[in-house]
Amino acid sequence: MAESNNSTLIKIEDVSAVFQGITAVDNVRFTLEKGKIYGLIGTNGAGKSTLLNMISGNIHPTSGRILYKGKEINRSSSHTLAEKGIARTFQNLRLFGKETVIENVKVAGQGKFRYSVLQMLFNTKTYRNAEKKLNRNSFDILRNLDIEKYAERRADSLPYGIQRKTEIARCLALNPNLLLLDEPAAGMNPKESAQLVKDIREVHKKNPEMTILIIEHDMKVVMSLCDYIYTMASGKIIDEGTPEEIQNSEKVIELYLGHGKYAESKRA
Amino acid sequence: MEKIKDKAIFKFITVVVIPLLILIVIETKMNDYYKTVVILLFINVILAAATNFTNGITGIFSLGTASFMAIGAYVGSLLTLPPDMKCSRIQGIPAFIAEIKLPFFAALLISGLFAAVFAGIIGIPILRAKGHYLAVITLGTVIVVKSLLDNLTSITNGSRGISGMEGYSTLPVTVLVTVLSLYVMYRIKTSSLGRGMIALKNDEDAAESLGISRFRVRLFSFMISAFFAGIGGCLWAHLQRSIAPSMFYLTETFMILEMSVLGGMESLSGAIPGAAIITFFPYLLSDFSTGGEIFGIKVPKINGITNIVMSVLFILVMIFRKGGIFRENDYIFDAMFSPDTYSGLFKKEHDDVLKKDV
Repeated sequence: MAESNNSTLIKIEDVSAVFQGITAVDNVRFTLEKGKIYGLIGTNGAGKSTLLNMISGNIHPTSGRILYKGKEINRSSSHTLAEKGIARTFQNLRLFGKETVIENVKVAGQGKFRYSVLQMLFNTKTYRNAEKKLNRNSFDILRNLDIEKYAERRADSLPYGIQRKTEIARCLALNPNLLLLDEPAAGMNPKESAQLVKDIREVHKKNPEMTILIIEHDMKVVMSLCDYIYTMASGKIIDEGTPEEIQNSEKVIELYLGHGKYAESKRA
Repeated sequence: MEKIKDKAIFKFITVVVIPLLILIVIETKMNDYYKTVVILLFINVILAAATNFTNGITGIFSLGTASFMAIGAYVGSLLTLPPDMKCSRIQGIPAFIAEIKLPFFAALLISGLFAAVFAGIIGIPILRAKGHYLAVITLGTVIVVKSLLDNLTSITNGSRGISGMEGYSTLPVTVLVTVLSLYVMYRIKTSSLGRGMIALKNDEDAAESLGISRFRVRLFSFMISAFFAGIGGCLWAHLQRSIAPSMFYLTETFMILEMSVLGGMESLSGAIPGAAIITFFPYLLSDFSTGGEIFGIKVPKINGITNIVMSVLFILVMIFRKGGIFRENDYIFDAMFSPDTYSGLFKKEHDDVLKKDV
């Protein structure tokens, strides 16, 4: 599987990230294929977020290669990758709180509706049409996620679940090939996270070409959503497989529960 | 039923007709002293709005407006002064500068462009800095520009400055330039570029992850701001008709900052109340600082009363209305232009959805 075929979206080859002597990610290799939902699990400090930051261009790897559609993106900045179709959410909410929900989505969607500075200054038809289309497009994204009634509300005035959805809506406005979700269910109650699972499934159904990578601690979310799961511990991928395989993997159980009587009893 | 305040005719009267009538009265009935104060107000509005553009909207806290203003003032003055005047006033002036003589509006544009190019050149290295560091570096540019103007004597005539410019900055000219400047800045603010700027102010990483180039957008905003500061400087030079490096130093820097903060940094129209307070108060209070009779009441001479009142006012605004008088609301412009550009159209279409109880 050395050469990347058409169905491979992301290919990570022996990637490491070292911060001041500490190796956060250690010679990791994995591939993400088009149209699937992937999970990335592991204990705190395992290097999951670092890995995600490297794919989205926020951090550059110390060594190794990251290939996106067969092209190396090691040194690409996050805004160029966003234009190329890699969208991400953040572990803690990073909405533009003072802006309305629709404005948040418009910021992400505007790359597709371009106009020149002169067209904008003279308020030409091209400019007005582009803005109109952008409004419509953003509104449709909100409607698909069923949050259109919040469109004109300030983002930071909304309930947590809606804010999370807004963040996902913002990513969808980029029309991404790859959607990276960093702990989307963090801080949610069971009801909210069940809703989140439903929403992500819905999003994937509407964009079946899109690949989704989810970092999550909530096993219910991961196991019910993902087609394939990678498990990380201290910077390395220790196991991978389908949800059933991961649930029964000795290594993963050991990672989460440790050795000893308690673990044995849990296993039985 | 449409509210009266949303009607186009009402907007037109309050925002266009009434101010225009007031200006016509000022232009025809008032003496030169008051006219100068009103012109100064409009120039200050441009300067404050240019500062708001970077400080409030893009979130790069720049103190460098006075330096861009200085460049605009000098470039503009050198371009409009007659050649013989330049040769007699400035010793050793290079011939190619002395020979140029341009009409005022060309000079105005070029002075803005010069300031913008200068901002672009210094912006490439300094915009890597963030927050307080950026503020200190831009304050540094004010000092550097001042000492350049002091020492490039063959072009700037050193600390004695240049004088003898024509008074091109009449009230109609200044008002026209101010309105155009604010219009352009507002258009940019509500376009995709402006959304990028606002996103960067809110959260740089998140904005970048949505495809907004931090470097490009911030540099562009810095240059636009410098362009208008340069234009403001050029107008200022042709109002005062005499400029010197010391005029574009720390006093001016902090005066501009005060206007911008007082009116509301995040609002372009906030520049108007901010500039009005800072421009008019010293004149209103000048009677108190010299002593004399006001409305028949004898007032003793109180030295420094202007500064005291201004500082107290500033502190009060900062305590009771932290975001400045207008906060982040562009009352004046949103009322004027909202329908197409903002969510006006869109709101009408989806009114039923938005009105749902949430």
